[in-house]
Amino acid sequence: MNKKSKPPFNLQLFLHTRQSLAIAIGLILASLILLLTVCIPQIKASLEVNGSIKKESERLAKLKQKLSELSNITYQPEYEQIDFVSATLPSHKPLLELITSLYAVTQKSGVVVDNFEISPGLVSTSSAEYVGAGKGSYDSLELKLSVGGTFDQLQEFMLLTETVTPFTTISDLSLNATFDNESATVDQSKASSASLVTTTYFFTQPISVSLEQPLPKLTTTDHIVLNELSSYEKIDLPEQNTILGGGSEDIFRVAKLRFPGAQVSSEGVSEL
Amino acid sequence: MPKNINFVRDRQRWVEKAQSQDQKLMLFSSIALGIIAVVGIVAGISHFLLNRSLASIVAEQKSTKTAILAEQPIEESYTVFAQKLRVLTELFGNRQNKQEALTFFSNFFGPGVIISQLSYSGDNNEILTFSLSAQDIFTMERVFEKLKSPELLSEYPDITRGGLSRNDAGVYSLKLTVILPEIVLEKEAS
Repeated sequence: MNKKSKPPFNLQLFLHTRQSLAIAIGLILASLILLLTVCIPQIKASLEVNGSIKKESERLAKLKQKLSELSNITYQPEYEQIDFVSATLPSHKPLLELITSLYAVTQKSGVVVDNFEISPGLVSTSSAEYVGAGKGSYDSLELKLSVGGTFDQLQEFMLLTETVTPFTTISDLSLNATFDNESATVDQSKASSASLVTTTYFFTQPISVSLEQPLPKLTTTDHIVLNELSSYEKIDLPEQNTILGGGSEDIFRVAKLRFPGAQVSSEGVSEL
Repeated sequence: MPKNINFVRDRQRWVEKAQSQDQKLMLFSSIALGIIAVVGIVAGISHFLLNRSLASIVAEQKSTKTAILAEQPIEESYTVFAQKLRVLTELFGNRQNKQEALTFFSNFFGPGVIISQLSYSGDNNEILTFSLSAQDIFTMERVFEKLKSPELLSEYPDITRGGLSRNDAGVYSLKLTVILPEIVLEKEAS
């Protein structure tokens, strides 16, 4: 017996009899298209934006924190010591400051400077970039000097040298003192002398700040140093307030001019 | 005898059953489409709202950055101040070590002994080299005794003796080299 052959697919008959199935297939296709073209990209984009919001919110919080710190920092007691710390560790070779401090210290201790020798090398200016050979964040300036006086005066001098600005330390010392045979101590009546090498430090590290970089925090050790530094004596460079010489006479002797019609107040004329 | 004979009864039954299933499928697919449409709308709205929120955050960032830039001179001076203070802390700690050592050695050997020569290097290990001068050999003998004392060795374990010399005035000098211990400031801070 022959097998019954399958009739060919009739679209019209299918649409007539299986209309609902055709609509369901259409709806499923529409759902898939909607899901793939709208829902998934929107959800992905939303998740991305949400991630960006979290990231930007954190950044905003940091910026707000920094702004708040910046607003409050001027009221902190440490901020008042900025100038003093700058004078203690200047950002340039403190040649003049060192000589001024040395002068003040010798005056105060009563010692006499026999000679001094300093080799500042290239003086860093704004137009000549500093070429540092120091330890990265600081460099030093050496001063050799010989001083004379009583032993107490020399001791006072050495003590004071290490308590003035800019930050200076005695790195080498050679002392000539005479002993008193009776008291077995240094004879104060005889002159003593000392040769010293002092090292004065200055700051050379380039500093860069960025918007999101937080402000540096001071540690307990920093506060200890600030307290210790407050007992230091700041030596200010003397400022020139008067101009000497030159005279005040008008060497041209030009007669005062008045323009006809010009309204000049009596005060203005008197000033002229 | 029946008037009508239905030759496609089975076929009709199959079609009815299939149509019933099709309607159910259509119902489910329309519900799915509805849900997907709602999800799409919700996703679109949330994307819009999130974008608005992001834009407001970025705008706020911009205004905060402008405010920070206005305070930049304060920030710069404070950052330089903090860096300088860090350097000073290091230098200060080293120097305080040296000063404490000198004070200790000046007082430790008693009267008649002075520190006459000094050389300080704070580069790597802080090394302090100094000469003790004593008026006579008896005082210098006391110095030698004291150099063996446990009090000194507990404070400064790395201490090396150098040469002993005598000058024309009869003053005896002894050279000592001390490797200074770690920064004192850290001890104070803790």
